[in-house]
Amino acid sequence: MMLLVYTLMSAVLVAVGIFGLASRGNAAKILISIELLSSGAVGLVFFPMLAISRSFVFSQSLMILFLSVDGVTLGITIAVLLMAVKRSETGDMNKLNELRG
Amino acid sequence: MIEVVSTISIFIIFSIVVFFMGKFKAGKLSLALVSMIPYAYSYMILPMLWFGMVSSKEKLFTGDFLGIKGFFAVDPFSLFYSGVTALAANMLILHIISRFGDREIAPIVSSALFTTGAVLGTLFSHNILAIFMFWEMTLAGVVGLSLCPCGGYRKQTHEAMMKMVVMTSISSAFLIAGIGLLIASISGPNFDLPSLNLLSVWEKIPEAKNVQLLVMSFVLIAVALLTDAGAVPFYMWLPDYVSGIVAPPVALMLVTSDLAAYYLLGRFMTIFSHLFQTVKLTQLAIITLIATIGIFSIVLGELSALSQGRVRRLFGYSMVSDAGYSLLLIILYNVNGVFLFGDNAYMAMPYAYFTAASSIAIAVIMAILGSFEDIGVFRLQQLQGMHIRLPFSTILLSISLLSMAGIPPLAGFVAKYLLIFSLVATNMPIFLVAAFIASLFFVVCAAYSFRLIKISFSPREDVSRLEERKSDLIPLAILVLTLILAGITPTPFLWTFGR
Amino acid sequence: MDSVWLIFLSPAIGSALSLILSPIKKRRIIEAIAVISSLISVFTSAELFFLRAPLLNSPAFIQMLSGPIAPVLMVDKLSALMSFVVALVSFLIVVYSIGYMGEDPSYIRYYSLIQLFIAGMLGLVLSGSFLYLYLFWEVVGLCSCLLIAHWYEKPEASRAGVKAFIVTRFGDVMLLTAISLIYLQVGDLRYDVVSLHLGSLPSSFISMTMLLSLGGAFGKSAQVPLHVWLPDAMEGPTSVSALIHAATMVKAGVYLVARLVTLSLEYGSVDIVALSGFSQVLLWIGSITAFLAATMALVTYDIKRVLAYSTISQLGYMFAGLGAFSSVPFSEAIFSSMLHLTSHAFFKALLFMGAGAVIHATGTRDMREMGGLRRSMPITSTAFLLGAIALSGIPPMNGFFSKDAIMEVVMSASPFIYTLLLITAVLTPFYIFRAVLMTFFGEQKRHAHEASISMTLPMIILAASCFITPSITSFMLENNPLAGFSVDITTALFSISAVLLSLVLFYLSYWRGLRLELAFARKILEKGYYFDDLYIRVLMPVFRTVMSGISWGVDRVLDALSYRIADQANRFGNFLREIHTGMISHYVAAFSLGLIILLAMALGVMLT
Repeated sequence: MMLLVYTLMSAVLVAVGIFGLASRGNAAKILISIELLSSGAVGLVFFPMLAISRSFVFSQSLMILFLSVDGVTLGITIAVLLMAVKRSETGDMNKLNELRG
Repeated sequence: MIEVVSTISIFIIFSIVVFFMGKFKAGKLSLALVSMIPYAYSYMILPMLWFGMVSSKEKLFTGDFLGIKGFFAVDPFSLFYSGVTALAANMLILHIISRFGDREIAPIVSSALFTTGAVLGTLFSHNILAIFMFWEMTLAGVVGLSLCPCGGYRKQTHEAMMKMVVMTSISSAFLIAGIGLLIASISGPNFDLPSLNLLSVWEKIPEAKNVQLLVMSFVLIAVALLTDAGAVPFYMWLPDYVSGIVAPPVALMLVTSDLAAYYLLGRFMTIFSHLFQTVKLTQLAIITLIATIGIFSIVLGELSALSQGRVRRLFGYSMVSDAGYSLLLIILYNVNGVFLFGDNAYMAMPYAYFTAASSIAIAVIMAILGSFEDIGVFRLQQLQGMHIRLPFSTILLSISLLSMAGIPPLAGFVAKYLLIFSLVATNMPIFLVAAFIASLFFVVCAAYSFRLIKISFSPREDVSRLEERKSDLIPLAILVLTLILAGITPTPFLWTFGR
Repeated sequence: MDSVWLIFLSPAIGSALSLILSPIKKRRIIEAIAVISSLISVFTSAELFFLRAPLLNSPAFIQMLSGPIAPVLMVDKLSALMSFVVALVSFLIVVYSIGYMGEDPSYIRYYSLIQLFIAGMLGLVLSGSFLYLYLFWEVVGLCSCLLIAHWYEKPEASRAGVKAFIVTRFGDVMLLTAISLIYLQVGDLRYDVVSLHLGSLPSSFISMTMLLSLGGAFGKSAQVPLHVWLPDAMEGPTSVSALIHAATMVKAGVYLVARLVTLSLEYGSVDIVALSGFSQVLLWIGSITAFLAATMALVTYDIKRVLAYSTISQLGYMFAGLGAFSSVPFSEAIFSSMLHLTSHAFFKALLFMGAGAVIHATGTRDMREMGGLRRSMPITSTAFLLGAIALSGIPPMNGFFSKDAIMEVVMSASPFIYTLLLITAVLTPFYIFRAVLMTFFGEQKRHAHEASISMTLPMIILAASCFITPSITSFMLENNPLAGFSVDITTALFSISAVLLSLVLFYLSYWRGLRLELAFARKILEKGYYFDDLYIRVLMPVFRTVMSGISWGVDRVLDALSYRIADQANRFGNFLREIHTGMISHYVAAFSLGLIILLAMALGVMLT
């Protein structure tokens, strides 16, 4: 039913996030893609949980927990990406490919 | 569990203390002493826990925290890893303080303490959510660790950090999804927090109604953890990270977050093992897939390391192949339907031994390579004549390399032997093939290890002896000594498994 | 600790002490150490010989620590006799060395090696287990080779040392094989255990093992075909030749055979039929060697080589005597061989000492350069003459009695062998008196003076002992000091007529100018029946070709294979590294590839 649709929507979000990361773009795109990915993942937590246990309290508290962890991760990611952007002059993260081979 | 809670909190508290000490420009010696305190405390607590385990013959202690039943659990597997982490991180911190003492090192010491505390939290947690939280704490700590300027940044630090952060965020997202699906599939109408303990998850899995969700969650968790451990094709950030960051954080990362990643692999991927036993097709598919990933990691890791010219990157690839070898053991446990927990923890012995031995060896190597880079040695050819310039460091390096190559009487030999032995003892054709391939690539590992040793001991005329501080090398020598001791008499180390 | 251990430990300690004290560059101290250590051996072995051994009815085992590989000594009549003889002769030679090596600069090396050798030889005869037998066997071989090459600056000397080592190696390998076979079958190497089990082993096994160990005995004792090292070994100092190549080491082979015979027949319960092949080989090789060596001694001009060939020939006698054990009671065979062994040890050492004194005085080994030395070296020439009389087998010297004993047992074994040995007995006086004539009689070509007291005293003692050695042997082996002097009338008559024939021929050749036109034979004899040429010209090139073929194969095939594999691995690694582009989006792309594969598997599982 609807919950299945929502679950599939979250999966789509995850896919979009991955696609955004896998294609060329600048740091902002990377950031947004990570955010999409995380949100999709959280969605994948919430909806099936709700579907099976039918307990709003539990599923919501789990979701909030994961979202807050996402936020913290995001903070660190922003910091590191800022440093990397400064290094790469352009915003394109793909330019930073000195470490290869 | 007051001991566990106190240990973790001491680490975190002291990390804050050290941070402030750095603000007030504390000296080298005081930093060393203060950073030793939490480790000394853990050296008291951990053997106490072990003796308790041995004397009471019970392999699992659980404890409550904040009203949640079974928040913490101690079993031989986590005890072994925690001992390894504590000792190795302590020695590495002492090494770092000694080497960089006149510069700003309080940030890295405090991050190291923080990360160690977080790793101990991961190791000792019983609740899945608690594990996840402490794991994210560990990752955060490692990020902080890697950004500390140990005597300046390398040129590629930001690039390496960027790659690591991106890949780790992805893996965290997938971990969230996987855990969510896992919880979703085992939850029922009467669901509460203690059911999220590992043991109860293990018990609930066979009764789950939705097998598909379980398989999906397995895949997602596997993907996430394999990225952190460094298996093909998720490994790509690891060599970059290892060669891009300054050396000491890499060494610390190896003994903290890498060990925690292996630990999580061991727990999470074997939690599904009795599921895979019941559905025969699933078992075959899982085995084949993970074996393929493992073999590819081995092949790619060892061969890329063989042809590598930059020394640090070589060890990044070696870590990739180590992940491959460990994966071979994981599928072994999956096939046998073993959950590496509690009473079954003794079966994790080869796995734990192998990962610990390789991590310590590579950590020592990283620390020494760091001091080599101070004199401008980055590539393989520049290692020539190192035994004249820094003889003691070269000797320690060589012993660790010999352990990696798997020469008795060092720990690496026992580790590799246990690996092959466990694979062959099953008498199943697929494991025999895997053991055969693994031992074939042991040769490759030995090849590049010996090549490194040979080049460092080759003669060279235009170099002279440089100064080596003994206080730098003593902590590393202690770690090398544990490698040697673990190789000569592995049984005391394996007694932690209570067997 | 039992004083028996001191017999061989004392020279061992002396050897180590000589090395340790080498910074003190005092010749007298090193010499004193050597003399004292060998004297202690003499005393302790004499104690064993006179006081303890006669009381033994069965062998005594003296063991230190416990377990199958613990050091163990076996004391029985055979080992007591051998140890006493060896210790005594060694002591006299050490005293002799003080004079002979008096000006040699590398005396420390010499004395330490000599003492090590003495320790090894005494350990060999006293050993109670095959393990230690072999250990001391190797020690003795090593010291021999090193001492032969004592003056290693001379290329001939180092070559001779290497040749000795390698030729005896062939024998040693066979001995080792035999010992290993014994170990595999019996499980223990101690003499008592082995002799207990020997009776129950299949006879083919016993005969094979015995024959293999014969290889070792023939190597050490320079029998055909492994005899080629002994004449060349004369490059070493004469005292070394006297000790090692006349009195002791070459006797080790004889001792080994005697020991094996006692173990199997006396202490074990082996069927004599099983050993028939063994005894035949002994008889034939012993007598053929005796004959061939005697012929070779006829044509050589080097005084030491004469004595070397003579040693080979007399050793052949001893082996032939031992080989008669299947026809006569084995104790008689052993007795005859041991009798000749002790007699030979004394008179051959005496002869070598004399030769050494002559060489030391005149500076040459070639007899053509010597002559008339009896006037300037009276003591030496008398002693040498006495030794020559003993070697020829003329009564009342000990050689007569011991040779007669051997002839007696051989005649019961095989008349043909007896005839061969008799012919040899004709040749023996001929070659030795030829040497005496060329050296001590005639015109003096080189200036010489009498040897020093340290050299003449041992000679005098040895010459005197030559009269009584038969009683020493028979005292030990037959509990009757006079048994050694008993002769069998028939063989005695034949032997004496052989000697007389030889003396007549000698007189005819040298005083009456009777010359037999045997020039063709001379070439063969001088070349040593072409044995050396066989080894050097034929066997060695074959071996070298085989080895170079193998190494070519290894180089081309195996090495190339490993290089190719390593190269391919490297190239493949380089190829794999191309995947790692360094761009983050590619990383995520690879990640998603892996993710998709895993998901596909999961979907596949879910759909079934």
